[in-house]
Amino acid sequence: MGRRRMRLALCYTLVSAENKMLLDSAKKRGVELERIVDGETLLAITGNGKKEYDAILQRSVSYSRSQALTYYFEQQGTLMISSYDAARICGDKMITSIELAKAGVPTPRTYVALTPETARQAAGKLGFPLVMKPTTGSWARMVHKINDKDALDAALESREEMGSPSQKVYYLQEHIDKPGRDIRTFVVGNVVVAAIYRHSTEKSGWITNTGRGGTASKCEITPELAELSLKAVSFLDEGIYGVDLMESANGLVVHEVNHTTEFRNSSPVTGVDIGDKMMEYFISRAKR
Amino acid sequence: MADAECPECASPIAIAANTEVGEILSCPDCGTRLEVRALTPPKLEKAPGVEEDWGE
Repeated sequence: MGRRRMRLALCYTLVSAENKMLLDSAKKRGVELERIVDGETLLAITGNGKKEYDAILQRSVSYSRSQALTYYFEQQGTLMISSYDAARICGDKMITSIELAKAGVPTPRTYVALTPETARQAAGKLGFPLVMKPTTGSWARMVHKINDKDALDAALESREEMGSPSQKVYYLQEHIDKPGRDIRTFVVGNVVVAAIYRHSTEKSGWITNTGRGGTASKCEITPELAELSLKAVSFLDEGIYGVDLMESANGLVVHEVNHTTEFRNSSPVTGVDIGDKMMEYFISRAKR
Repeated sequence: MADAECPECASPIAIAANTEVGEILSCPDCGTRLEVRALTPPKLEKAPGVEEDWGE
């Protein structure tokens, strides 16, 4: 009797450059990767709960869709990379910051306020400039450097006028005077496989996100960088993560951990086929 | 390589052989982000806008 073929899948919202690289890598490796398009998937909540897939590489770009699908498939016994618990922690900046601090990872001073009044109290503790972000969503949208009280009042008023309750959760953080760049490391399993500097540019302003016009260059993986990156994922299920760090006057600090890290601009500058490293790891985890 | 038409400006858009359904292209003329909805024959639709919870 032959062995049952493993069912492996890539779950995504759109075929991004990263997802295309992952599909290509699977093809090169002779692995048949099924596709789950999150917006086209119907979840049979009261169905038989039978396991459909052995492992899914979760690349949904939507946090809400990712949470629903990951929980659903995980309950069927499917290995999810990343896991529901990991996505819940990484997808919410407040929870990430709490876990980083608990793990003893150096991280910027942070407050979360639920009203404009308490947000102003947080500003009083942090001083200006400070950084204000939503707790979910990213690509640096609504991430503001607030230089003074007037700017804070304007930002708070804008956020209060928005319809979404999640925009009224104010995540305020000390501004780190970084040298025009920050660092993204790519952790695959227990290994830091690549690292980049993300430089701010005239187009991106103070933000370094490459999707907003920041540029990438290779960063050497020093023992300190590797150790801190691994510590920053130590409270997460083993998986694939992007760790964001800043160079502060007091050394490296970690400010975010991403569970669906992008890498299209990072492979060319590092010379590391990051998508292939991810796919190799995903397949090996599925076989464990 | 086949051609499709931009649903916004009607310009012809070349669809490369390795294009995937679900891939996002930009119209070279009007810049609209387009999602590949089908390949045979090629069909493009305006790509969904970025939602509040999208991102890394």
